[in-house]
Order: sequence, then structure tokens, then C-alpha cells
Amino acid sequence: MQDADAAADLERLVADRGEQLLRTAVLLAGSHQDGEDLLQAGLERLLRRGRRIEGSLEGYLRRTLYNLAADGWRRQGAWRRKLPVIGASQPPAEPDVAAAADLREALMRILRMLPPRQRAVIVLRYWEQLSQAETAATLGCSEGAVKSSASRGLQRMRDLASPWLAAEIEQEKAT
Amino acid sequence: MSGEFEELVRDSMEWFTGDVRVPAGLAGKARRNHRRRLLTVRAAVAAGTAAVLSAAAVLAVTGGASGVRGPDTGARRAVRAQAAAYVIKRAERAVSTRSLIVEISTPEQVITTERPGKRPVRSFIPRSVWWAYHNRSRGEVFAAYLRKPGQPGAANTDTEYGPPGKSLPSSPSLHPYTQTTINYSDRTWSRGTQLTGLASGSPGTACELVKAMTDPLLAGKVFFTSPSFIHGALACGGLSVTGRTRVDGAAAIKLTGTRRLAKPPITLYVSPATYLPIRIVIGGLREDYRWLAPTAANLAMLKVRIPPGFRRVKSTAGPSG
Repeated sequence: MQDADAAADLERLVADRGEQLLRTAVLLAGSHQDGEDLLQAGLERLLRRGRRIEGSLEGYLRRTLYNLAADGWRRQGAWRRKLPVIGASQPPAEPDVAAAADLREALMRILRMLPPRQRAVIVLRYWEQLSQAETAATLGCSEGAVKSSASRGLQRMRDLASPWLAAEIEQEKAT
Repeated sequence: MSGEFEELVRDSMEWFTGDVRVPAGLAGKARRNHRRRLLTVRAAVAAGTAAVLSAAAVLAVTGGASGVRGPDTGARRAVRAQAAAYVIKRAERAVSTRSLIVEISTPEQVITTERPGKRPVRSFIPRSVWWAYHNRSRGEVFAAYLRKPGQPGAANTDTEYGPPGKSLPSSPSLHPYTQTTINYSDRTWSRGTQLTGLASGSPGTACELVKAMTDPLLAGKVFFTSPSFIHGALACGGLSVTGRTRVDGAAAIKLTGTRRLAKPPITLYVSPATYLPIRIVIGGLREDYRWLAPTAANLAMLKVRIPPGFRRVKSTAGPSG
């Protein structure tokens, strides 16, 4: 890919598939701002790779996003670890900053709490709706690892969401 | 249930990303960053070559002699290192104490966070006071922009965390806490459950955790300075003694963040009498510490009292507890 070609390909990819890619990045990173940064990092990686990319650019970019989110970014220290660390002995300056308005918001906060690889598996399996084999191929791990990550991740999400789930059930009963 | 839950997760993801729009110029920005990176790498390669050449020149002039140290300098340095280690150890032990109530006051301030390649972020920090003791805490936040006329100096929100519930079986580090918040601006109050604690799968070492806690992007949103934070920073060797000074007229030992903690810069002041923290400044944010005996009067500061006539509203922190 020559520089001018690369730039044109990149513009086209962002114009055609940008929104879908950004949505994936937002889910992987946990917030809109971090999602943009993650996609930006993926695009730069794509430019760096240039002519050496074989196959579809989007496929390469998607794999890059998942791998950056799951390992690379974090290892490089560029990953902003936005841990939801609010404790009784660690008072926040604004009390409601990490509060969940409803079950869906709570689930997204809980998704952010999962370790990066578990989160990547959950996004691939339940957002992208890839099979176990496809997920394993994207992340470069075994199907067994995907299966256990998905199951542990979901279980953890379910456990952490239990207060909100119970409230939903109560609300349904009441109505 | 399992299928339903997966569906719920998917639905939440749809909802969360529903309003995502690609910002204009995303591809252009990537290209510019890529080009800048290439230039930096080239410059670094060129500078590296120059440095090797100049180092060779210096060695040639000095005959390659290593630095000569006088015995006095070495001894003084050893004594200083010993004294610094002693201060760190005492301060670490002091903040581990669970027998005092800590009062953390933050003055109203605006802090600016620099971000490489981006515009700096200015954050407004309202005045607040928090009290923490064991597993309970309570804080009053005075946000002038929320204040109603006729309520000068009144707290806008008064929030209590506690008592903690049982930790979750799959995540022993996460506890559901009861969060009670009184909003004086609109005369309402709410009570709900808040998950608190450290997310498991968090970085292992104390230094990494401290770094994560001081993420500059959280500036103005969440601050994690607390005895456990300071303990973590001391324990990981992230703070070193850099001298003596005075804080509001009182003697203080100054400790500053080492390279282990990097950004944002941290300065901690501890009392030479008790070794307890009296002030911390992180990336421009200042917090002052007072340590109080757990008397009945002081313990009463950890409990919110709902004023009569205030209306209960739905909590934004989760279901009622």
C-alpha cells in the first residue's frame, strides 16, 4: 500500500464501517472517549503495517482492536485503567459518579470491571455473535480458553448484577 | 435464564453504543499521529547515534575514569538513605492504623490536566469534607454552582457509605455498600446499593494500582486519595523523602513521587511528630488530612441525618438497601 493509497483506503474504511467499528471499540474500552482512542490506535497500527496486511483491512483492524484491548495496550501501559474503585475509605469527590441508573447501565459498568481478555470474549461472542471457533481465531487462543472465559465472564456479570436483577424482578412483580 | 441473561447483556451493549457517532477527521488524525511517530522514531535514531559518538569522545578525554567518590559523601549518602527508609517505614505504619478517624478536606479548586497530543482538560473540584473510619465514610460536597440562594455555605450533598454487606462469592474484593445521599439543593434523599472495592483482575502490584488510581483522565471525577492509597504508594517505593518544609505553619517532612509512579506528580507531607499525612498534592489537586480520635462526637460525623420534610427519591446507585 503506497501512502496515498493507504490514506484513501483508510478514509473509505472509516466512512463505510467506522460507526460499527467504533461501537465495538467503545464496548471493549468501556467509554466513548476511550473507544475513540482505541480505534485511533488501531488505525495507526493499520497504517504502520501498510502493505504487509494480507486480506481484508477491516478484518485486520478488528483483530487489532481485540488484541490491543486484550493484551497489548495494557502491557504497554497505555491502557487507562479506569477501575471502579470507590470504597468506604476511599471517598469520591462527587458521590454519584459511578452510580448505575438502571440494570443496563449497571451491566455496562460491570462489563468494564472484567479482566480485558474476558471482556473481549464477551464482546466477540454476544455483541459480534461470533462462534467459539471464530472468537478463538480472532484472539489467537484455544476454543477451550474462549469457552471458559465466556462462562466465567457471564457468571461474574450475573453475580455482580444480582442486586439490580433482584430489583427488576421485584418491580415486575409489583406491576 | 442463561439465554435471557445473554440477551440482556446484548441489549445493554446496543443501548450503551446507541448514540455512538464517528467524530469527523478520525482517519486524518490517525494519519497525522502516524506521521509524527515516524518523525520521532527517525529523530530518536539520529539522536542515539549522536549520543554514542559524544560518549565516546568524553571517554577519550577522561581516559575512561569512573566517577570518584570521597568516603564522606558515601557515608553521608548512606545515613540519608537510612533516615529516608526510617521515615517511609514510620509513615507506612502510621497510615495503616485503623484506630483514628481520618478527615479529608478538599478546597474548591480548578485543576488542569495535560494530555499528550490533546487539549488540556480543566476540571472544577468542589469543596468537600470526608470522614472515614473502618468500613464507613461520610462526606459533604459544597458545589457552589448547585447552591440555591439563601443557603450560603450549606452542603449540597451529604453522602454516607456503609454498612458494608457480604462480599460477593465470585469477587471477594467487591462489597455491596449502602449509599445514602441527601441533596440539599432540591431537598431530596435517596438510598441504594453501590458496589465498592477493587475490581478483581486489577493490576497486581501496589505501584500499578496507585498509578491506576491517579489516572489523570479521572481528574475532577473520582479521587482515590485515602490512607490505603498512601499506604500503597509508600509500600511500593513510589515515594521518597525529599526534605523538610512547613505546611500552614507546621513542620512537615516532604515526600515526592519517584519514577515508579511517574505521572501525575505526587507530593505528600507527613507530620514529623506522628508520621501521619497532613497534606497530599496530586497533579495540582490538594487534600488536607486531619486525624481524629474515635470519640462519640467524632463518630457521629460518619452518620447522615435526613432532615425532616425531605422527600425520598429513587436512588441512582442501584436498588434500595
